[in-house]
Amino acid sequence: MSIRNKLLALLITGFSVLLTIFYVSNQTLNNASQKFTSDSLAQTYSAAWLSASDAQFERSVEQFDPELGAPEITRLWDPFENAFDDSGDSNPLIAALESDRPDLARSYFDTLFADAVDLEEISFVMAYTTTGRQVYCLSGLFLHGADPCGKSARPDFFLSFDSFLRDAIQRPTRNIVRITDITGDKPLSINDSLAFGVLNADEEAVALVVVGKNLVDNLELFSEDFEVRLAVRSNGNSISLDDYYDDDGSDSTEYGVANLRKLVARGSQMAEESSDATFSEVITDLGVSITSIPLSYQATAEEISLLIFKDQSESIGQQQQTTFNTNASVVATVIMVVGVILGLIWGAFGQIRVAIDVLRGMAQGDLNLEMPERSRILASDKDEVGRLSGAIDQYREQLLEAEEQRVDRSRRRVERDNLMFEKMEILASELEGGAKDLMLEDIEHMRSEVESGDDAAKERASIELMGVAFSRMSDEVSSLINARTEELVRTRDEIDSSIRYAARLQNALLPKQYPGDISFKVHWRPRDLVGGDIYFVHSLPDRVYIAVVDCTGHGVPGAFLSIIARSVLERAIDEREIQNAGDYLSKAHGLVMETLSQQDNSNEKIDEGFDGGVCIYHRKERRLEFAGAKSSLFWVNDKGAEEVKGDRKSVGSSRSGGAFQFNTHVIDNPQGAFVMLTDGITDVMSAEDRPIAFGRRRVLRTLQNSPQATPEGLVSNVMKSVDLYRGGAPYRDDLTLLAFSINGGADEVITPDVEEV
Amino acid sequence: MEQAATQRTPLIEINEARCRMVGECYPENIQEFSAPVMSTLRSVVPDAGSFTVDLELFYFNSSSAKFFFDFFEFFEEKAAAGLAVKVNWNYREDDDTMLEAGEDFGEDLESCVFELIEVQAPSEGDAQ
Repeated sequence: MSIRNKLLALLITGFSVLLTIFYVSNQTLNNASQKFTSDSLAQTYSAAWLSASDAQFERSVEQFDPELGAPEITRLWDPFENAFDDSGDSNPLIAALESDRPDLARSYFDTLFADAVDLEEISFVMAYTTTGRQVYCLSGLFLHGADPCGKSARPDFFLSFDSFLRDAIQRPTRNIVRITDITGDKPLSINDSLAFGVLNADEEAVALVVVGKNLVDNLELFSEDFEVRLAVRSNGNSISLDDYYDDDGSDSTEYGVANLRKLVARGSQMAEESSDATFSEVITDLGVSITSIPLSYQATAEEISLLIFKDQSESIGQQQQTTFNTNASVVATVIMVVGVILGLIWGAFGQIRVAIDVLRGMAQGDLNLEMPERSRILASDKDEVGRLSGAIDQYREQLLEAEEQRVDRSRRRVERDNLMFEKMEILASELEGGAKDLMLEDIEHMRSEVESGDDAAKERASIELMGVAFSRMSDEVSSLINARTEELVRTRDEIDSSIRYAARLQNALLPKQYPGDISFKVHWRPRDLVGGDIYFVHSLPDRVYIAVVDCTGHGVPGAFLSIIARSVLERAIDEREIQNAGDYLSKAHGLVMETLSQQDNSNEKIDEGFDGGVCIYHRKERRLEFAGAKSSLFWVNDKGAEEVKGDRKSVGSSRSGGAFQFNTHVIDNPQGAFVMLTDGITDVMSAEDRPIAFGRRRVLRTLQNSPQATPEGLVSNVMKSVDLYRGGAPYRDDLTLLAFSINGGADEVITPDVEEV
Repeated sequence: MEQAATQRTPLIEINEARCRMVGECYPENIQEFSAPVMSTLRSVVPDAGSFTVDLELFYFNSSSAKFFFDFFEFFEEKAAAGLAVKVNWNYREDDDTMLEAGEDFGEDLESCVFELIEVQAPSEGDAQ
């Protein structure tokens, strides 16, 4: 069962239950209201009838009551008064009755009643002796039903005359008196009557008088007033007003009430069935209400009751119309609501079914299916179906985009594959023999692979193709690279061996022998295999030249310059003349200028040359001289360490002027150790982002703090400090650190002690 | 002219009012480094008015030293011709090498106003 059908079933069941409840409760309500209406109708009729009949009773019969009646009449019943004539003081009527003279009494009775009967104030009057013999009877001319004074008349009180008499003598008694015509020619006569005894002076009853008024007049009035038809039900028999008229009235539709006979029968039946004689009921099919009320206070309703038939067709019609209207509107509302809900459900589930079809279609690859436009009332893009529809459209668009991408990817793959094949073919054409066959075989195999199967298989094949192509190509390329690499290695080795040879040459320029009266310790380290740093020791019989120089540049250019520098340092030595350090350095300066500028014809400044310091130790005078070109001599002795600064000029620089004279610094009787160095030491930088050079001050401090003021100790200490300071940072320049001390011993020659790196 | 620092060359900023260099200077080929700097200076530095040279160097090699001689010579000539040149030589308190280098350059300057300035915190422009 689909959700739609479940909802429908639920909806229909729910509304059926609601309708049932509505119907039942409506019915109950109607019944209750009808009952209430009927009861109140019965009470209304009852009150109206009884007060009307009481009024008539007072107007007619009661005036003859010996106690309560009209004063001119009560006088006529007084045994001690003669209100009839002038024949004495005693009542002649009572006297006639006492003396059993009905003939006399009759004229007195006539005096009493004749006018009233003629005027139809009362219907009849009867008088009986206490033994039950009728002594007088007078009835009107226009009677309804049995004539009370007829021979065939049988009043009902005959059946219980004694008790009737007793009650009446005791006090005047109001009764309903029914008089039956025993021949059956006339219908029953029903009378509201008063029975009373006629008392003599001894308070003894001498006669019983019954005065009655037929109820038909009253009933007719009531019928007219209330527009109803009436029937009296007495001891199981019913009698309608029609029975008193000559036409039997069975065809009459007076007051809209037809079929009176049938109604009377129905009313009688209802009265028999009812436990209560007072009731009222609407007989819908007959369009009539039947109401039963007691006819009189003086008789029980079981004995005699009044049946009232009222035409209710209008109110029944109205009620039926109202009921119909209510029911119709409820049903119409239900149908409308159900219809709208059905429509909504139908619409929504219709859309959902379409969505299912579209999704299924999409799953099977049909992307042309679209959700239909929703144009109906109550359809909105914001409701569930609208959102579903939107989501499906979005999904479809994504699928379309994905499909587009797939097609695009596939196209690019084909292009790529073709490029691969092209390149492989070019490669194959360059190959020969087995390798070529293998390559062609690969190409053919891969071609068939990338052209068969679905997208995924093609993609896999394409990737495999790339792998194969790459592998083949890289095989070829690596064999090519191998060939090239061999060549490169050969070249590099050649250069390396050249440089290594140059290093050996530069090494050969370094001093190999030192004079025995001076101890040396040197740390020499070109940054590359060769460099611009060089040191120089030359011993003459009377003096020793010691120089440490740093030629501009490093590497091979520096090394070239260092050769010139060494040559200059040698040539500047004047063996015959006394020569101080300043002169010596000045001479070297001149020589460098001469050497380099002679070879350059242009006017450009030549700044090539060197920085460095020279010491000359005059043995005989025990005097050490120093001259420096941007270099210092560090002197470590018992008092500590001090720096002897040279001039701030470079050797060979045109800035220094062609004839610059370097100053000579003199140290007599030199004690302790001396250190010379190139800026490879002072320019060692710390390993920071913003590095600081090691500098001369740190050199001086290191020297001061050295425990051993020997050349070995000082060199090792300074290098340790420098390495520590440098951390992981590389050397930036060639560096040379030379320390010496003068021993003052014999002029012997010893082997060099040089650290070469 | 604006040129970021490299491992071997300093940060350089040159405009009509100021020339600034921060960092180390030991280029492989000094000519390649110095030529554009000098030509920029020649075209940018005005003949009159005032000009500031801010230098904060950590290290320069001997080839670069020769470049700096040319550099200061240029400004000396400009100053002699009427440009008010102020040279600020910044050095870290610990860096006696740069202090001395500054002293050396300063000695040669007569027309330029030269000031040695000891800096402790890193200067506003980072050389890195």
